Amino acid sequence: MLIKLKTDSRIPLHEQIATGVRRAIQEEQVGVGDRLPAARELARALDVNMHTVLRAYAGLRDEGVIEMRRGRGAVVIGEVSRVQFRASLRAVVADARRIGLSDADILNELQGVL
Amino acid sequence: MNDRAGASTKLLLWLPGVIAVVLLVAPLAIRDRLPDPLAIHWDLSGAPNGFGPLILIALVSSVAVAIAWVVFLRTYRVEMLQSHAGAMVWFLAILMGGMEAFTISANLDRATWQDAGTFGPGRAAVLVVLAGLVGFGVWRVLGGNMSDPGVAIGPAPSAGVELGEHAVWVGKTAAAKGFVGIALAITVGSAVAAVLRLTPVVTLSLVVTALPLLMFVSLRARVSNTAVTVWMGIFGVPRVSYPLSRIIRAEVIDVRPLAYGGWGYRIVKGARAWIVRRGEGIRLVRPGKADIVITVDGAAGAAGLINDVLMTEGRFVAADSS
Repeated sequence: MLIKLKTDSRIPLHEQIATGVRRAIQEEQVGVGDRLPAARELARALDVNMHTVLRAYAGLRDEGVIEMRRGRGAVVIGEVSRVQFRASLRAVVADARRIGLSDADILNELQGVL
Repeated sequence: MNDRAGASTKLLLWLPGVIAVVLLVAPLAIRDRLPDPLAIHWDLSGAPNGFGPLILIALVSSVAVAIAWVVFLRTYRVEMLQSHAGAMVWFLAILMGGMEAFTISANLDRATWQDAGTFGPGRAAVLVVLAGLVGFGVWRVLGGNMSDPGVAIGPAPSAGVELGEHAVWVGKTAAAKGFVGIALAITVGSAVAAVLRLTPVVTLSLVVTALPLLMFVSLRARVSNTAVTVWMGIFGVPRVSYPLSRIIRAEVIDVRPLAYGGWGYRIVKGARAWIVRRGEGIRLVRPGKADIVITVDGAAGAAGLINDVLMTEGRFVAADSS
């Protein structure tokens, strides 16, 4: 699993870390049941604050990608297909916002497709 | 290979078979001069404290050497493996032969096993060292110190990490299921032996076998912009770190464990290898020092990041210019 950080990027560091983990899951470099590196270890290797990594992990947990277990750290639980689906959804939403659609508009469009 | 070298190799190859037969026949040939049961175990002061039937001693040592010898004959055509199998059979032949010789001389012409002479830990230690030296000699003679046989696949890769980016690569790999199964079986066996309070020798040898196996069932690796770190086995011990400052290039290679003489931590001429399974791995090229070979899944990512870091620091050296 390769995680890259651009410190001069407008994208927040924790989001870059989360993107790296998602990509690694999509590319099947890590799979369900695999343990992610400890937050402290990853923070040290990337030269960032440990809370930045923890924030990335918390976001991934809220998305259902990983689970935080006491004593075992962060473990991947998200199915690859589901993670992939969420990633494409996120891209669609970003596109929609870029052309000026509101959240309500996006939901309406989605409902139309369904 | 000249005739003399051929003859000595033949001797190395066939003599263990002769030793296996002698180990079985010799004690039986002089059984009239030995007590039955005879002393087979001594305490730390060298006094006999265990006994067994004569045939047991003869069979155990002979069969152990015979099995190792058959493995040696079967692996003789496999590069590298022959030197390890040869070292093993000769180590066993000297150890078993010496133990049997000491056991017989301690029991010779005694009425009962309690009257047997002493066999202290000093002699046992000398025997182990002697067997180790002979094993090492055989290993050297059979080409155990050959060069790193790993073949680089394609040019040194890149992971697309650019100047100003921080990056980390983490990866792992696990041994084949059969290997993991054997390691677990021996571990369970040693736990059972400890619980059943089998003889310390049995328990200790099982533990000594189980520990290195558990050490090599899996491997975890991390590449940061300063070092490559490897954690071995389920305990993460040993943990070794190789600073990038000594590395000039990382290559993806196809690792064939048998070509390195097996699994685990292997030493070949010019390289040190951490081998958990066959297949893809990385080679860290270190001028003036031994290269490092590590089996990891997603080797291209690991090697790519190392090369990118070296590239941004201006220290990368391509294969043809090194």
